[in-house]
Amino acid sequence: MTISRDLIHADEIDAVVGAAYRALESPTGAATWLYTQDQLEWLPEGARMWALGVGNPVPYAELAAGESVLDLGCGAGIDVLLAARAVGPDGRSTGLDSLPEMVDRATVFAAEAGIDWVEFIEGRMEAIPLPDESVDVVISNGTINLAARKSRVLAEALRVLRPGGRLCVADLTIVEEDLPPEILTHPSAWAG
Amino acid sequence: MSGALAERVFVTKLDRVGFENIEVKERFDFGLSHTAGYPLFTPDLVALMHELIPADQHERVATSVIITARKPDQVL
Repeated sequence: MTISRDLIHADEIDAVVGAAYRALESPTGAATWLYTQDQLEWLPEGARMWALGVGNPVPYAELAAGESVLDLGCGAGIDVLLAARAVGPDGRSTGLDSLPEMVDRATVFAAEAGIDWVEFIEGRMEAIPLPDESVDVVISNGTINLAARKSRVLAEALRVLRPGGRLCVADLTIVEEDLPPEILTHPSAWAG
Repeated sequence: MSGALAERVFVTKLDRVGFENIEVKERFDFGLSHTAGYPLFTPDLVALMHELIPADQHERVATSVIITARKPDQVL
């Protein structure tokens, strides 16, 4: 077990992460460099500016028309909207986020995009408020590294996927030995 | 940063919960220049990273990966 995991408990991690994301008021488009020009031109400005992921998972999800998609930790919804564009109006794209502020923003941006086959729900990745085997594809972008109980998140993703369903995750990985302990134990270092 | 897993640990966790056909589709370096605007990369943390991490590693402090996997048709 690492030093950082010894020093911080799950509820503390949730509090630190939630407070940091809740306090963000002036988004900078930190993650727009990860997306294609075609994607960026199609998206509402707000969705672009609030992008906080660490990759561009939707193209790798190989979505087909009519599929249902769930984005774990959707934030302001950029990947939910891109998934909705891919599955079309016969499909369904759902975003899950623990912060009501993000759910509200995502709902506004979806309306701006003119997409009504999306849904945003408030909830935790560790306890997805959806039935078993109810979605075709689960995606996430830079959020599993923020979860204190990662195996639980992955097990929940497996639960809600239909048999044969797909997972497509963009996330940060590290080589722990390459990072100084002062970094790993910094209060803000549970980052992504 | 401390919440991120090693790639092999991530893949092992996916396998252990029951996913199959696990593939790492993309990897790219995530550096200090990419951290601006992310809420948990606070200015004091980024300053500490600049101070403690050797300069030649500043643009590869982590690796961003895209991993795909599949739920088996029959879950035993």
